[in-house]
Amino acid sequence: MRYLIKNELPGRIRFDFQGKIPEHDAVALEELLIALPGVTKTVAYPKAGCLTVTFEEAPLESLAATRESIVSYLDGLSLDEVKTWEPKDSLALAPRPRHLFHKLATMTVMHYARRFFLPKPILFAFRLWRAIPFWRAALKSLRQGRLDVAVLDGAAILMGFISGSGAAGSSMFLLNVGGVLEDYTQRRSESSLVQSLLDIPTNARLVKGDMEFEVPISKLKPGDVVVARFGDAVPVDGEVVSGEAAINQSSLTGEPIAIVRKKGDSVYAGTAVEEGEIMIRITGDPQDSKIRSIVTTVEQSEALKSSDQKRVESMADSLVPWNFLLAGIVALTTRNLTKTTAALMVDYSCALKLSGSIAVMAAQRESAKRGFTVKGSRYFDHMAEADTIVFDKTGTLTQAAPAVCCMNTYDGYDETEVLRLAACLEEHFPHPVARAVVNKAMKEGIEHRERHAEVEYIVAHGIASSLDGKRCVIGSEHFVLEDEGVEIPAAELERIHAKANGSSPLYLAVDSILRGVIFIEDPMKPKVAQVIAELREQGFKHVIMLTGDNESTAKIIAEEAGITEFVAEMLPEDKHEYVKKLQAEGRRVCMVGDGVNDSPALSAAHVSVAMSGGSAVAREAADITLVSNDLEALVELRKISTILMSRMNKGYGFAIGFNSLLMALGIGGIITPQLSSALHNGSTVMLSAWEARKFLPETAEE
Amino acid sequence: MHPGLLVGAGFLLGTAGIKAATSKTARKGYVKTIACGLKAKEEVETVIDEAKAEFDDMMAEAGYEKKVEVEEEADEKAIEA
Repeated sequence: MRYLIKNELPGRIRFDFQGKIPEHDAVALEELLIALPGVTKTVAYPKAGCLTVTFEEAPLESLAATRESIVSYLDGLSLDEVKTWEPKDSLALAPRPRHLFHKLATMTVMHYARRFFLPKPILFAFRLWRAIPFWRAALKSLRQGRLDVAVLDGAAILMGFISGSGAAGSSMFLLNVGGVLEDYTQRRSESSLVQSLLDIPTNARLVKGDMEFEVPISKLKPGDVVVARFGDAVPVDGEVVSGEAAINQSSLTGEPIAIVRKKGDSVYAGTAVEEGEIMIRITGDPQDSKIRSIVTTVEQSEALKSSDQKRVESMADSLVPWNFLLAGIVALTTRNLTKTTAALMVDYSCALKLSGSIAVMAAQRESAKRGFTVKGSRYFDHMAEADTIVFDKTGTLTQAAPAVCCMNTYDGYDETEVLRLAACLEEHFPHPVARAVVNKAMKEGIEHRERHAEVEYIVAHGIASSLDGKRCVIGSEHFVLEDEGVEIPAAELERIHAKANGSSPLYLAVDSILRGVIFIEDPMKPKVAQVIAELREQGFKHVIMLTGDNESTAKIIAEEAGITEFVAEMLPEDKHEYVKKLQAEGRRVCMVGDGVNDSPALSAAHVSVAMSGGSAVAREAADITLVSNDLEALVELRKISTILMSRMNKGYGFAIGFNSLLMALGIGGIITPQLSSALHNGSTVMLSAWEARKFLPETAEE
Repeated sequence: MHPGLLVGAGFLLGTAGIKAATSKTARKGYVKTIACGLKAKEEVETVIDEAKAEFDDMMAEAGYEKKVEVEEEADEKAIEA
């Protein structure tokens, strides 16, 4: 490409392409160059025809060498390549900060240019024309019998015209600025939401003959058969060829109740299998299905978003009738138009809406930087006000990389046999404990092909199946010993408990006789105790751990973590009931979980958080998803939420207080409406700038 | 002013005036004005972009100078110590 180097510093070059660049090419250049090693930031200036590239030393290269490689890349880049470039992810399509700046700057310059250059009558006509959408919205609200912000804005603009249109122009300008910012935030959060959804691991289990393979969804073709079980999401649209399952289609249809799908029924990508197992023959295109399921999810959170914005607006709305009342009183008592104008001109809505949106935008931006996706601004609210936090144990407090640490064998069975049987049964299930068993078997080189018949998964407790005609069960103590009635001498049980010491024993029985006990160790994540202590300091009065695991293991983990309240041996319905019970007691509950078993509880809680290693179902049910598995993110999340809430409250307080003061002064005749309007606008801009500050100090890593 | 004059002016405006305002030449005039307006907007946007580019350059240079100064001071302190 032909270019000039306009400006250069070590680590930053501005290239001038001597001519305007179309927007598509500008984005293409930004994306192509930021992909080069060492490049940290690229900003295009399409109308000026420039591109700035900021870079540091590429790995294993000096700064000078990096510069050379960037320059030579640009030398070798052809115009064709730029013209035919296509965005590969949705963040590339999102509006960039420079777009926002450009829009706002243009709006501002045009606003003042018009004021300065256009002759008064034309300016008046232009403003009148610009006011029409506002008045249309105001009339619409009035027709619905509502006295809300739209009406106040319309009235304020009308009044502004009466006192000479300048003030009306400024009000409209500010309202438009607010609209641009809201739109920008919305589109950016949409894109980052889509991006985070695209990132969710996308593998499916392809069935070929007798064997199952994990393959990336993109490699599937129509006609392939995949299997989906309890906890899985249906990977691609298809038709059920065998099996039966209860599928939750709420992500598609909104129905929260799972429906049963059998042979011949259609199933859709993105829906979750709640129970059972089905073989699906793919009929759709994998890429299409994925995009559709993501679009649906985003649309749902759209609905969520608009209700969030309304929260900000309802506060402004509730003040409107008072505004009109005051104006009415002023009009009747003073019969002075100027003073009445003053009562209407200072509208709280600009300040409230603008500062509210900006605060939320800043919070979401910072959250994204720190690795959490918050699906709606109301969750910041709930997170800030939560007084109870409920943790799931496995995968949330523990590493979720449990490993077999040792085994007991009985009745003539040796370790290999026990492991083989266990792996055979556990093979199919997404639970981390199952994975531990399967991994150990793999390590020992033990073969465990599908020698069994249909497997029954008894939720949270264990697995039962028939193998060569014998009934095999594997699971928790409660399941195997009590439910299935397998006998064991009390002394042996004591010995098993003593040996366990924090690990979870898995009992294997064939034909109701105990054959082996596999001890699974699930170490706690590092720093959990510290995080829990910090959370307590931040105001979580109750920290509770819920687990499906047995009592003794739970007790040991709880002690290590510093949690005093915990409940063990819970079924998923129990967890859900427990959360609801807490909420009925008036507590604000935050639930943190990762497993399929947690989704009912996650949906029930006021605000829920899913870890990154969690199942797809959990991540869909949760309100906030973490990119990392680190619990420290919770502490940051809480901080950001509380800071956001305090800022919004302070902002509202200031907006209302200051504007009320201006109104009072205007009504008292101490300042002219023009001055009060100018002060109103000025203070709104300052407030917005204040709301946009960073939330947390940057850490050393950044 | 003579009321008759006003009536006459109004009559003229209503007839000849409308004809003039909607004639071909007038239309060309409007198009030109709008085109001018659009060009002006484009100019404004260009100037804004160029200004931003220059401003960003200045910010980068200032940041760089500050970094260099800080490093030099650190070096001096290291030498003294």
